[in-house]
Amino acid sequence: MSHQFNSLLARITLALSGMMWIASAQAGDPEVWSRIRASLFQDRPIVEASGDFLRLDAPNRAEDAAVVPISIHTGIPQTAGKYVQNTWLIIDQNPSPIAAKFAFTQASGQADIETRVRVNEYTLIRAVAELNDGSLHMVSKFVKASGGCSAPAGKDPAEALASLGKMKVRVESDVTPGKPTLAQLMISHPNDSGLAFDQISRNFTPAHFVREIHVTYAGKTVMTAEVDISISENPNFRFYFVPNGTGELAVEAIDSQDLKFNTAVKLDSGKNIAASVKPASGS
Amino acid sequence: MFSKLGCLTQLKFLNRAGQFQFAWICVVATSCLFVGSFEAIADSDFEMHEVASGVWVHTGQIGDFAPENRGDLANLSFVIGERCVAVIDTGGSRSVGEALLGAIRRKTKLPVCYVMTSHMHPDHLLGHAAFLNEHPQFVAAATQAKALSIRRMGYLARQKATLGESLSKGTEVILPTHPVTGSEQFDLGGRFLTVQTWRTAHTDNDVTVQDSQTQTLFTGDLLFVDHLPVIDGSIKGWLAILPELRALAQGPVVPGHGPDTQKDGLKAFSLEQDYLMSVASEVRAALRAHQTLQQAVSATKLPEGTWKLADLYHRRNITAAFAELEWED
Repeated sequence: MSHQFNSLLARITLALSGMMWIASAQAGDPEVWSRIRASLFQDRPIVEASGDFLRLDAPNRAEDAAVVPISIHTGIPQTAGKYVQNTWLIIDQNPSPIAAKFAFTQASGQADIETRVRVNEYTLIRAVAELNDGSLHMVSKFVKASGGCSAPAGKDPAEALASLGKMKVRVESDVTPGKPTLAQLMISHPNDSGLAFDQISRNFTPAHFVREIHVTYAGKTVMTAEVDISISENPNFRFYFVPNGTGELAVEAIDSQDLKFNTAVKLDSGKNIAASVKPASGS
Repeated sequence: MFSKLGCLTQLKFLNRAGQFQFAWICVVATSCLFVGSFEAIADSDFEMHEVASGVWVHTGQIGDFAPENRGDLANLSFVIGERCVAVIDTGGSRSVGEALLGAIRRKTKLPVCYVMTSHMHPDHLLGHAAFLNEHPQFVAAATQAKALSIRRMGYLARQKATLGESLSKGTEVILPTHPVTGSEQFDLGGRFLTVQTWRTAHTDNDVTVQDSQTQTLFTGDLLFVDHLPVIDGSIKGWLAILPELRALAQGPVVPGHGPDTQKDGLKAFSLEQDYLMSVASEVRAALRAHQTLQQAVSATKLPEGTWKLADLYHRRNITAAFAELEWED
């Protein structure tokens, strides 16, 4: 009887801890954030940013936890006096919480960024922007989604492998010289998280993901991203740059196996894009 | 669940003697709950109807995994030959699989030689374990083993989270023992079942099953009736195969979800095609307008008509279609 009682107690306790775990996840876990905060920003002050200055858009409840759209908007133009130099995208409850670090320059025009992420469980998602004066500003949003990280990449793995490294760059059709212009970068890549366990091979599908992206316009850096397994399969980014005269918007992506993928779009001054997209080349 | 939680919270603050008493209250309360829930879904109530001679179908509920339905959400079928029985899909828990096996045993003593899986989704195959003692071949598309083996842990965890500990007990993910490439015939004695694989559509491992004697077509989730179609593969692939699939419908049509049809099968294909085409054209319009995924998802309206679960799946379909169609040139 005592044995039965103990095992019952153990099972109930397990159930309870499960429930408490869910409850704590819903409320956000301050422990997790304090660890991330300490590692990235030590004891530097972080200001809760106003919506006019920094805004983070994400769905309250994700339709697909493996493809959760995120956008970070900044309310200030990138000027010599004041600009955003870094933005971190942090997903507290993900296995690897620092999803991305984006670096911007004055050539970005506008330090806005949009991407899609995997969300592993109910979590706070944060954007922390660092201005050129070193000040840190944060916004956060609670997102309900689960299973995104261990969800296997690829609704069609055969197709994904065939198109690995293919890239598409799109630029807004009306380009005004000197004005921040929206561009979109798409990279065909499984971005395997390494967290999907394969029952046949008794192994985890090895992590294989895009880790770095460099975007330049006319030779000048527009945006650099250090990204991680929290970014969805087929990484997708929208960002700004400032076209001026004739120049090339060039992208280099590097993955965790050091494969490099390049593509570029040539822009004619003030005109529509000269649609000379080079096919992405792996090396 | 709440009573357990309440009980436990008190447990934490009691001394040993007190714990003992409260624990027993828990035992009594919990076992009453279990007995109650099992009685409510007695297996003799597991309804089967004969859509054609020797072809029996159980119509699953249209809904999401919940303790009230114990994962009984997909259509489950069996076909009786002279030699043996084939099962097509087994439900979303071992308990549903057991109910199906019970229903088979009320009709025939013949062994179950094949358990066929229409595709990898948990509501169609988490009942497989109930058939292990029959020692059948588990038949599925050759692509299923990989797809299922990487999703296995997620499926089991989600089943436990939605059905609870007791209803998910004994559930296993059984990988196919007989993979099919292209198409293959299975002899039940006096009748054949043809298992045909398809290009990526609802998932990357869909098969249809057709009976040689009655022409009954089991579409799996390549056809949804009433339940909103769900895209977990390729909307382009799905739209591409629909005409071919429709041409196979020469007798009763058993969809993956929703009522089977005798004469009206073609209408069901049209309704599904209309929905998928409307999703594709809406997403393509959003892409032409340079909308973001988020904009497209928030702008979409739930489809008109009689689709059920649209609130659960429509925006997810837009998401999946967007991620696929944005790569079109």
